[in-house]
Amino acid sequence: MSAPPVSRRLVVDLASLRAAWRIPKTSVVQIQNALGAAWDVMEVKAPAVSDGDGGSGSPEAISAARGAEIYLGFGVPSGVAAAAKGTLRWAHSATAGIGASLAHMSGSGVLLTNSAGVHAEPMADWVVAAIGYFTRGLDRMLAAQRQGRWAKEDFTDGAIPMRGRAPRVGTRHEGVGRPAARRTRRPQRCGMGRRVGRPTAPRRRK
Amino acid sequence: MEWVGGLADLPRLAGGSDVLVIAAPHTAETVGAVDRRVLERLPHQALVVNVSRGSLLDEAALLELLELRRLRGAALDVFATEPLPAGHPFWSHARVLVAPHVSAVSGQFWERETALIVENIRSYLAGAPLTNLVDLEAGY
Repeated sequence: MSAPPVSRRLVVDLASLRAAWRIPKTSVVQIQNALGAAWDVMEVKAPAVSDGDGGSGSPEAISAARGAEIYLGFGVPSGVAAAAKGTLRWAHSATAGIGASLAHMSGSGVLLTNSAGVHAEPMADWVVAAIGYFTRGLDRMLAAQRQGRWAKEDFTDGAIPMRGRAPRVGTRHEGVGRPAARRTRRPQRCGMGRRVGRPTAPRRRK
Repeated sequence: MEWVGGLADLPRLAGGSDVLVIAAPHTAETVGAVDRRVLERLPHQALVVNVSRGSLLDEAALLELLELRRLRGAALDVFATEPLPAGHPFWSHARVLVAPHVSAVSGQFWERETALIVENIRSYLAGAPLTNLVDLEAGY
């Protein structure tokens, strides 16, 4: 009697309590379809910490990670990395920041990918909105509204300077590739000037 | 792109910027990078926007320059301590926009994220390079 075929395992540990970050079922199905029948997709139901760079890992996630080849989470919890040691080949973080995972991932030989570019466009929208909030005096208008004051003179008589030209925007980011460029492209489309970054080599698996 | 520089060029960048947007990752190299020296180089009535990590920005120096009316305002989505502690001066400052680390929230997140994961699964299975591979030595 031959032994049953050993399936390869991918763990989905993305059940955030925050609706915006909780993986939908449709995404899990797409992941299963991309992997094919030879893979066992284990979806952790216990809540995963999606704030910051992720949390320490639930007992269910740590249990699921034993023998896993691929892990998808918010960062890579140290308990998950320890449980999957020897079998884990690739871990993907649904966060851009992975600082909390570096200590136990360095030297592990495991490939780690993050979601830096995924967040670029909404963040760029927020940056443009925040710049407009101040440069068009919306903060002062809100303060006047709270006082019930019709503050027309504040803006027409020069008491509050209103910017007449697009501001020059200096951006501090790492890399000048696609994700970094996205963050500065949106302000540039609004007529805002320059950007600066530190060039980095393309980050690809060898 | 007007010019490209490294950390040592931050004061130069600040000196010519009406708005300084901090979008760098938290690494050993970038912690504290936007310090008092950089902030003081910003032109009068400049803005500071931080969507990175609070650890990159000298919050005390920022507050001081806002109080001195050297800076027009600050839009902060991230802080050295999160949630921002009750009673922190940023909460009540008229020229500070406090956001609870939500600048990345988007209704399209999982559409984009799933596309990235699926693309990388196909690459992984084919032995091809992965997108968004982190350099563990550089820290991002």
